[in-house]
Amino acid sequence: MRIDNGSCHCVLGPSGSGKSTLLKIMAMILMPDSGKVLVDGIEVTTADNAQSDKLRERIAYSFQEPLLLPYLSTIENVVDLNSVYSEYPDGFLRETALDFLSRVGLENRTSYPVNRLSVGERKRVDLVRALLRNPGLLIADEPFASLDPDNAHNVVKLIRAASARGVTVVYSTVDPSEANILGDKVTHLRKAEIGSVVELDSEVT
Amino acid sequence: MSEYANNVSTWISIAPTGPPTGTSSNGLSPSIIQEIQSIKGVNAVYPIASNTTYITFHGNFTIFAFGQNTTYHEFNMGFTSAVLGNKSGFPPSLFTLVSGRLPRPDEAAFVIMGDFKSPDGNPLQLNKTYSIVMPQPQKDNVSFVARLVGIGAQNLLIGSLAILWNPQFLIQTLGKQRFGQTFGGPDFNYVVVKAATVESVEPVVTALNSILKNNAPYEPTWDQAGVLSFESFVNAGDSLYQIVGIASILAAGATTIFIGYLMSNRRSWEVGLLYTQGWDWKGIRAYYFLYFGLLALMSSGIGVVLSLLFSSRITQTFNVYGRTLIVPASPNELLVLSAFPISIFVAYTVSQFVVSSTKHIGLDRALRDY
Repeated sequence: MRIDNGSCHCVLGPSGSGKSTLLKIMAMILMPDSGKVLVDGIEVTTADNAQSDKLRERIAYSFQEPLLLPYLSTIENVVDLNSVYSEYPDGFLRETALDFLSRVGLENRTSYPVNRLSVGERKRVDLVRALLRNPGLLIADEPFASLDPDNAHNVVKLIRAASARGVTVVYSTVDPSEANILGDKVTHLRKAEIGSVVELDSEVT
Repeated sequence: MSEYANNVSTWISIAPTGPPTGTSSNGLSPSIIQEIQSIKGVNAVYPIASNTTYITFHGNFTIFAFGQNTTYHEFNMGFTSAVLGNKSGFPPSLFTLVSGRLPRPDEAAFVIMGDFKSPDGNPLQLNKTYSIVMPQPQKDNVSFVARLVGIGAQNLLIGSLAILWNPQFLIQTLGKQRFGQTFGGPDFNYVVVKAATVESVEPVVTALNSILKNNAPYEPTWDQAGVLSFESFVNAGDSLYQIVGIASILAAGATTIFIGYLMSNRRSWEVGLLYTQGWDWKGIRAYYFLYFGLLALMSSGIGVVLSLLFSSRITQTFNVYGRTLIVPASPNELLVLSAFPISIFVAYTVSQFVVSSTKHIGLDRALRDY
C-alpha cells in the first residue's frame, strides 16, 4: 500500500477488518508484527527516538472515539495541547482554532467544558485539534461517524481545505459513499488484508 | 525541649554549709566571683548578699525548749532575706510566683519562697501585714511593717533563702548607705551560677569545687539527678519525636507516590494522547513532573501549616524546681523543610513512573483506557 504525498486516501472496510489498526500503524501508535512501514523513506519500526519524534511531529491523528481532556474547555483542548511544540505563536494558534471551530459549527461551544459536548461535537473538536498542528499527514479514523449530514459536510470542507494546503490525508470509513467524498484512492480492507486499491478520477461533492 | 533543658537544668548555687549565716561576713570576695565568672561554660553569675531578717509574731506561743514548755507573747523568727533583682540580688528568672504578686518599688511588701510557718504552726498568710526587724551592720536595727504580697515556689538549690524584697523599697527604708552595707556586698554569701548548657554543668561544678576548696564553708549545689534525668529524657524525647517526624514524612511521601501511581494508571490514556499529539517522552515527563510537583508542593504546604497549627496545641508538662513547665511541641525545622525536597522527589518518581508504565503497556492499550 502506498500513500502519495499530498493525496487523500480512504481506507474502506467493514467493522473488524483492521482499518483502525492499519491507521494506528501509520500513526506509529502501534508497531506492526511483520512487514515494513516507511514514512518519507524512513523505516518507522527501526527508526531511533530522534527520527521517530521528528516523524511524529508531522503526523496528526484524529481518533474514532474522540479523546479530549475533560478538565479543559473546547478551545483549551484544541490550542493547549498544540502550543507546546508548535512553531506558531499562541495567539495565531488560538485565532486559527476559532476559525476552524466556527467552520465546523462549534463557534458557540469554544468555552464549553468538553464533557458537556455531544459525541458529534467532541468528534469535530478532536479533528480540529489534529488539523491545528498543520501536519504533513492527517490520519482520521472514521471522521464522519456520529455526524449529521450538515456537520459531515462541514468536516469534509475543512479536510479538503487542509488537503488543498498540501496535507496528505488518510481516513477510514465503513460507508462506501463516504469513500468517494474525499478520496483520490480507496483501499479496500477485508479480514485484515488489503483487497483492492481503486483510484478515483473525479471528485464527488 | 533541648532549649528548656538548657534553661532550667543549668542553675548551680553556691551556699554556705551548715546553718545559714544570714550576713555577708566571711562571704565570697569579689575576686572569687571574678574567678567563677571566668570558668569556661559559665553563662552568668549572680552574687547575692543576704541578711537575717526577723518577723515579730505576737500572741501566745508555747515553745518546748530546755526540757520544758515556755510561753512567749512575742516571738522573733529569723528568715534569710535578699533582694529580688539588682546586681547583688536573687535572679528574677529563677523566681516563680505561685500565688499573689511581686512587690511594687514603693510598697512596704515582700514575697517568700516556699511555705514558711509562723511559731504557732500556721503558714504565713498572703496579704497580711507583719512586723519586720532588719539588723544592720552597725547594730542599729531597722523596724518597719511590711505586707506579704506573694508566695513563690521554694527553690531547692537555695532552700534557706526565704524572703525577697524589692530593692527600691529597701533603699527608701534603709537609706542608700545602709542598703549598700546590708545587701550590696562587697562580699557575698550566696552565688547563683548559670551554666551555658546542660552538658557544661558538671565541668563547671568541678571547677567551682576547685575554687571553693579554700573557702570551706561554701559548696556548690546542683540538681545532679535532675540534670541527668532531664538530659536523658530530653535526648530520648527528641529522638522519639525525630523518629515519629521522619516516619510521618516517609509515610506521607509513600502515600503521595501511591496516589500518583493510581492516578497515572487511571490516566495512561492521557499520556497516550499527548504522545499522539506530537509530544516526546521528555516533554511528557516534564509536564507530569510539573503537575505532580505542584500537587505535592501544595500538599506539603498544607501539611506544614497543619503541623504548625497542631504542634502549638500539643504540650507536655514538667515539674522542675517546684514549678510546672509547659513545653509546647515545636516542629523540627529540618524535618519541616525536608517536605519540600521530598515533594520534588515524589513528583520526579511519579513522572518517571507515568511514562514508563505507559510505555510498558503500549500506546494502543493506554489509549483504549479512555
